[in-house]
Amino acid sequence: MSRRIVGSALAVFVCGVLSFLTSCSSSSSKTSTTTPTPSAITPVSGTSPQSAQVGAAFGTALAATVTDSSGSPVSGASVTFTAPSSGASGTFKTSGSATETDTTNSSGVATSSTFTANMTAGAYTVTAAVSGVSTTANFNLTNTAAVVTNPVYVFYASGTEVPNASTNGSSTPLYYALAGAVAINSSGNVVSGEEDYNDGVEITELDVPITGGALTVDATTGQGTLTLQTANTLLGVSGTETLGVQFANTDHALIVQFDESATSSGSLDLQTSGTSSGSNSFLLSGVDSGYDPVGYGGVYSVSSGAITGVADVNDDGTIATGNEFTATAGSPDSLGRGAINNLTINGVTLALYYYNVGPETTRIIDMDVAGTVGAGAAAVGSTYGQGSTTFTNSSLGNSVVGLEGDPFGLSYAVAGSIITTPTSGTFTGTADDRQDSGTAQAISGTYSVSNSVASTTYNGYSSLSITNSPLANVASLGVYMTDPALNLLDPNNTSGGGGALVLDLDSVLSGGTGIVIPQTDTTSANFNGTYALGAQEYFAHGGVVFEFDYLGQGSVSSLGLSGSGLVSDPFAFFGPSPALYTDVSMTGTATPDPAEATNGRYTMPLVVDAFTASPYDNLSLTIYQANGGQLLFIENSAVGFGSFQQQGSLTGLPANRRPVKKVRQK
Amino acid sequence: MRSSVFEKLTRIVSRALVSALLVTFAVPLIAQPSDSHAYDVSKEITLSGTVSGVVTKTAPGTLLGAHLLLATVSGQVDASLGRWAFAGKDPLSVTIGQQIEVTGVMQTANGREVFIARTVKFGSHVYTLRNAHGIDISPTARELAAKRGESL
Repeated sequence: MSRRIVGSALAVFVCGVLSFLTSCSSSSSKTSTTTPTPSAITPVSGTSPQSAQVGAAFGTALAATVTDSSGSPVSGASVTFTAPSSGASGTFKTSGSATETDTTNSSGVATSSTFTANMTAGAYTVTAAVSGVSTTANFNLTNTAAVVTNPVYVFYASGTEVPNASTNGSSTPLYYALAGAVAINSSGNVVSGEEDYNDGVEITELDVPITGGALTVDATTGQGTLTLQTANTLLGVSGTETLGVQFANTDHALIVQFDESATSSGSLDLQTSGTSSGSNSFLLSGVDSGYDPVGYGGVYSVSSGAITGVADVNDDGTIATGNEFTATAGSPDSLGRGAINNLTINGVTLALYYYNVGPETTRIIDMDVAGTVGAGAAAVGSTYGQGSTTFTNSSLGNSVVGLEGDPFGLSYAVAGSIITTPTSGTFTGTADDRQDSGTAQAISGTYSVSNSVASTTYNGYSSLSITNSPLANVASLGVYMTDPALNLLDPNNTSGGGGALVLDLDSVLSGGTGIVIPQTDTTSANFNGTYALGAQEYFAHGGVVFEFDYLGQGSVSSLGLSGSGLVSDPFAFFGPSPALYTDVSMTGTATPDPAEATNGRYTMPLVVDAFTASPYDNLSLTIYQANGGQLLFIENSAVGFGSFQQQGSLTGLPANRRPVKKVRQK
Repeated sequence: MRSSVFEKLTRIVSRALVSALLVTFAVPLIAQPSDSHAYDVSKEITLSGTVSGVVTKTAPGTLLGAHLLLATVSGQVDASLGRWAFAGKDPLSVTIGQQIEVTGVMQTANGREVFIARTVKFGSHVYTLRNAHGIDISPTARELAAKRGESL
C-alpha cells in the first residue's frame, strides 16, 4: 500500500469520526460543502441599551450574533453596523464614520470597533444587518448631555492642504477650512470636542468627534500647541491635528495648523454663554463648486431661529449685490454647534454650520462637497452682532482697513487708514498693497452706510469705493457694520471694539475679505509692550503659489520688536524642504511714516530666522496702527496679511504649562 | 456660479422692473459699488512672439506666480501667467525660443506694465490660464470642469 493511499484512508476515517461529532467538513468532502445561511441576527447581551456622554466612547463595543435556521452560529458573515446620519449618533473608530462592516467569528459574533457618541444629546438606534436576513439587530443608545465644567474654546482656520495620496489624493494643493470646539480641563487635556473639516473635493468630514489631545503652552509667552485627536485618519496626521497657538490673553489665541498635513491661519476663542440673535453682519470666503474663489458678505437678523438678510456675492468674478435671503437656525448642541438650514443666496444653496463663540460671535463653515450636499463647496467665516446701533455715515469714522485674498484667489494684501467725512460720504487716506513695494499710496473715495435693496433699508449694509485707484485692483468694497463695542479680532475683549467686515467686490479679487477697525490712537509711543502676532502668507515656487503661516510673541520697546515664534512651512519657503520651525527668532524695528501721527503707518523689516542662511528670512512689513493694542500689517517679500495684538494676562490658562519642546528643523 | 440663460434673463428683467419702479417713485437708493477694475475682456489683445524667458521666482512688487518674457516686434513683454500655470496634471509647457500667441490685457500697476495673459496658444493648442474675469484657474477647477464636460 502506498503512503498516499494510507494517508487518504486515514483522512476519511478521522473526518468521519469528527463529522459525527461536529459536522466537520473539508475541501475534499463532497457531502458537507454548504455554507450556513444566516437566518437571524441579534444583539449580544450587554451591548444594548447603553449610554455615554456626548463626545465620549460607549463602554462596550457593539456586537451582534448571526445564526442559521438551526440556531447554530454562522462564521465569516459580514455584518454592517449603521448609526443615524444626522442628529444624535456617533462614529466607529475604525471607519471614522457612522457605518462600519465587521465579520463574524467562529461563534457567529461580529464586534464593532469602539463607538463614540457625537456631540448631540438624545436617544437613537444603531442597526446591525446581515445579508439574507430581513430584520436587523437593534442597539438602543443614548448620548447624554455633557455636564460642561471645563472651558470650551472655539477655533476656525482656512488655508492650503498639502497633497497627500493617502488622504486627499491630490497632486496639487487644495483649499481647506475647519471649525470646531474643544473642552479643555485645567491640566490642559482635551476632554471632548467636535469639528468640521472641508477641502471641497476630497475630504468633507462633518461633526468629527475630538476624543483627546492636549494644550501645551509656555506660561510666559502664551505660545504652544494644541493637539486634537480624532478617529478620522483623513484629518491631520493619522487622525491627530496639531495647531500652533499664540495666546494674546486667556480668552483668545492666534492659531496655525502645525503638522505638515496643511497650513492655515485662524483663531481660537473662549466660548461664553449665549446664542447669536438680533442683527448681525457676516463674511464667508472659500471656493465654490467649480473650485473657484468665492466670497459672501452681508447683514441679517435672527428672531426665534428665523433668519432674514441681504448678501453680496463675488463668485469667481461674477458679482451679485443685494441678494435678499431667508434661512433658519437650528438649535446648538452642547458645544455650541448647530446648522443653518434652507439657506440659498443668489441661487446657491449653502450647507452652513455654526459654532457659538458668544452672544455676538459665531464661526461659520460651509460643508458642501462639489455640489453633492449643497451647491457651494468649502468656505469659512464669521458672524458678528451689530448691537442696538442704527448705523449712519457717522458710524464709519477714521479707521484702519485690511484685506487679503482668498487662499485660492489672487494673492493680494492691502492695509491702509482712512479719514472719513460723514456728511459728504467721502474719505481720504493712505494705503499699501503688496505691489507698491512699501510705498504709501494716497487714496480717496466715497462710502455709504446702511444701503437699501428693493426699498428695504438694511442697517449697516454699506459700501465703499476707492475712486482714485492707486491700488492694483482694489476699488469696490462691500462693508458690513458691527457692534461698536465688539472687538472683531478678539471678541471676548471688552476694549478695542467697533468697525466692520469687508468683502472685496472687485471681480478679479473674488474671495478677498477683510476688516475695518476704528483708528483711535496713532501715538507711536503706544506701540509698545508685549504682543501676539501672526500672519498668513503666499509665495511662488517654481511659478506656483504656495502658503506659509506663522505666529509669534515678542516685546516692542522704542519700536524695536524682539520675540520668537512658530513657522508652518510645508511648501518650503524658508528652507530646502518642508518644515515646522519652533523657537524662531523674530526681530525688527518699526520706522514711523513721516505722517504716522495721522495715518498710523510704519514699515518694519522683520527677520524671521527660521532656517540658517536662508535668503528668505528677511520679511518686510507695512503696519497700520488702529490703537496701541491692534495693528494690521501686510508683508511685501511674499504676500502676507497679519496683525499685532497686545497681550493681556495669561493667568488661569487651562494648559499644561510646560514650554514647547524646542525642535528647530535646520 | 453658473446659472442658466433663463435665470439670467429673469434676473435682468426683474432688476429692470425694480429699476423702473424706483425711477418712477424717485426713491433715493445707493447701490453697492460696481466693479470698476475688472479684467475687461473687451480690451483683450493678442501678442505673437518668441518666448525669451520663463520667470518662476516672483520679484517683490510683481504679480505673484509665473511670468513669461515674450519677445515681440514691439519689444519685450512681461506676461503674468498666474499662480497655477505650471501646477497639476495638465500644466502649461513652454520652452525658450518657442513661438507662441498670448491673449490678455495690458495693465499698469504702480508704474509697471504687465500683460495679464488669459490664454497661451502654441500650434493649434490653446491653454487657458484665467477666466473671463481674469481669475486664475486652479488645477482642481480644471479637473472638475473636465469631469463635468464644461469648457474653461
